[in-house]
Amino acid sequence: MTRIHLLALGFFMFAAAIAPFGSASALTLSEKAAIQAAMQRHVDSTLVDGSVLYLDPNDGEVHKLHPVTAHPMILSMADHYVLCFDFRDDSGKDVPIDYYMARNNGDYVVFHTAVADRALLQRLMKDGRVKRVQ
Amino acid sequence: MGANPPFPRLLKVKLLAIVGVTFLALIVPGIWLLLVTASLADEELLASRIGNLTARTALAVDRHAAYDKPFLARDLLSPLAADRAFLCAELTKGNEAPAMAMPSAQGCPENLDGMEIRIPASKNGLWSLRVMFTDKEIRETRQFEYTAGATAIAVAFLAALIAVVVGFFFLVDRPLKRLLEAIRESSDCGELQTVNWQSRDEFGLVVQAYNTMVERERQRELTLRSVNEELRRSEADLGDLNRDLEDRVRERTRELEIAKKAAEFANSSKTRFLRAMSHELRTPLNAIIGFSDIMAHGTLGKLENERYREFSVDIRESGRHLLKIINELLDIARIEAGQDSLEEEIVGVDALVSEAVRLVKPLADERGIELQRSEVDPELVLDVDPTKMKQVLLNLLGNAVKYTPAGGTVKAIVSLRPRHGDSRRGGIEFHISDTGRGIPSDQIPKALTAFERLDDEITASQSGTGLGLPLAQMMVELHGGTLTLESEVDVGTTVSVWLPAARVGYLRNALDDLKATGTH
Repeated sequence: MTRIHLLALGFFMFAAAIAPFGSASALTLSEKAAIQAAMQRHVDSTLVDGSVLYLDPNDGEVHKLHPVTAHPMILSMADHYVLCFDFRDDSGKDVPIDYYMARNNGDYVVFHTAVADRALLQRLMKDGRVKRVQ
Repeated sequence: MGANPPFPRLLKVKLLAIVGVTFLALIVPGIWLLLVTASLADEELLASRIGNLTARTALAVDRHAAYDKPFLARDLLSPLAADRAFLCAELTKGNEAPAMAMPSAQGCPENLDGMEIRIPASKNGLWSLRVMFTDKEIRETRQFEYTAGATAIAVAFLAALIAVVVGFFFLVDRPLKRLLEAIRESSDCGELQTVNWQSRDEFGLVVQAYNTMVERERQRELTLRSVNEELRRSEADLGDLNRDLEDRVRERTRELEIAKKAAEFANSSKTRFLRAMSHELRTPLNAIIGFSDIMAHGTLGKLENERYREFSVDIRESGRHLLKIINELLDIARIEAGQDSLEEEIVGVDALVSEAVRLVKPLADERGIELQRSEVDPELVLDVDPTKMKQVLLNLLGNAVKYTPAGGTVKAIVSLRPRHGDSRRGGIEFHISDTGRGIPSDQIPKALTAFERLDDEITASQSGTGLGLPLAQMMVELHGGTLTLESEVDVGTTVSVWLPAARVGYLRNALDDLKATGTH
């Protein structure tokens, strides 16, 4: 094994080791908890009789979406964040809602809600604009 | 055969280095990535749990307006304490002292080490809920995971190295050592050794190929030895044969030398004998010819008896014939002894041929034979011994006339042999042809050999020594030319004399040369 091979292996090891840290800006655990709390408060504030009402543009019907669980993963989009919350409609079908949040005077507010629109988030992730927060 | 290589150069060490480095290069980053991802997930899970719990608690406090109801507020905050990450919580109005705290006795002390989350607990923002929590569980989990990861890496690394060492020993080292030992033994003792190893892997194939090669080499060596032995025997036989051959050659050479000396001696003796005898014979012969001529002419008185006069003529003619033979014998003897030389001078070809034809013509007329000759350029000359050349032509023409029956024809043709565009560059040719009975092809060599007589009725009836043609050939060869004889039975014979171009010229050229020489 020559020196060139050793150098190549070393570079590979270093690159692999630092790869996980090259994704997005880091948040402290407190900030993460604060973002999750802000989303929870937002979800609670939009509840009508315990469920979120959603006007489906496809069939023109208003559906009731019952909150089930919040995703622990936080995604970042430049200075903004994206969080997900799973809902379930009356028929038992899971409906994900993505909340796009921004920092505002030490607190966090939702500036866009994507109901059952995973295509938007997937496109942003594919373009590299949305990454997982470290 | 060299000794074992130094430790770092051993195949095993190199393999271990490659496997170890590759293993670490692949496994360490992989485990590291796994641990970091797991740690991040744990952190997100904790943040989500604390955040959601705190938010729900704050919403419950707000919904039930529990700010002034200590027991209700404690009941609403108590689920927070169920979380193991929870440290303390305080429900505060503005910057006032906490209205409600958990644990109730102390709330969140100043020196408490932990993380904090503060969220509004009323819609108007006057009340807020402050919760402190710890990430101790994450740290503990992370420490365990990292320890487990490092241990797993170490164990896997060691296992990989052991597997490499053991695998190398069984799969490579053992057959390699046997192969090496066999090669070393072959090198040391000079006899090829096979390797006792059976396996179906690549090393098995290598050993099998090596053994096959050894067997083939052994066969080849045996064949070579056999061939060498045969060669040695052949060489010995060849030596014997060579010696025998050399002995024979030496003996044969000695015999040939003796024979050559004997032949030379015989030839010399013959020449001496001929010269001596010819000289001794010519003296009395001249007396016989002279006296018989006097008697034939009746110089000292006419012979009374006509028969005596005829006898004296016969004696004179026989004497002349004998003298001619003796002269020819003398010429041959001189030429064979290498004592004859050419007295060269420029002579016209036309004059030479004309003289020869003129001398032979009476005999031809007497025998009723037509004598023809070709036209020759009067300026064409030869640089030859004119006496010898005339004798050659006379011999050839005389023979032709002698052996041609009456009514036949004898021709003397002269031609130049052209070469490279020059008419005389190829030399000059004299063709003496007749319409005689011809000579069988097997008799031609005899005709050119001295003292040989042809087996022919006509030749038998003619007088002659058989010396004329051989003597003519010798004289032509003295001039650097050739004499050839072609004959066909019942058709005729042609004798061709060729002289080289160096002996041919033109009178005008000779005169020009003389003029040029005179000018200079």
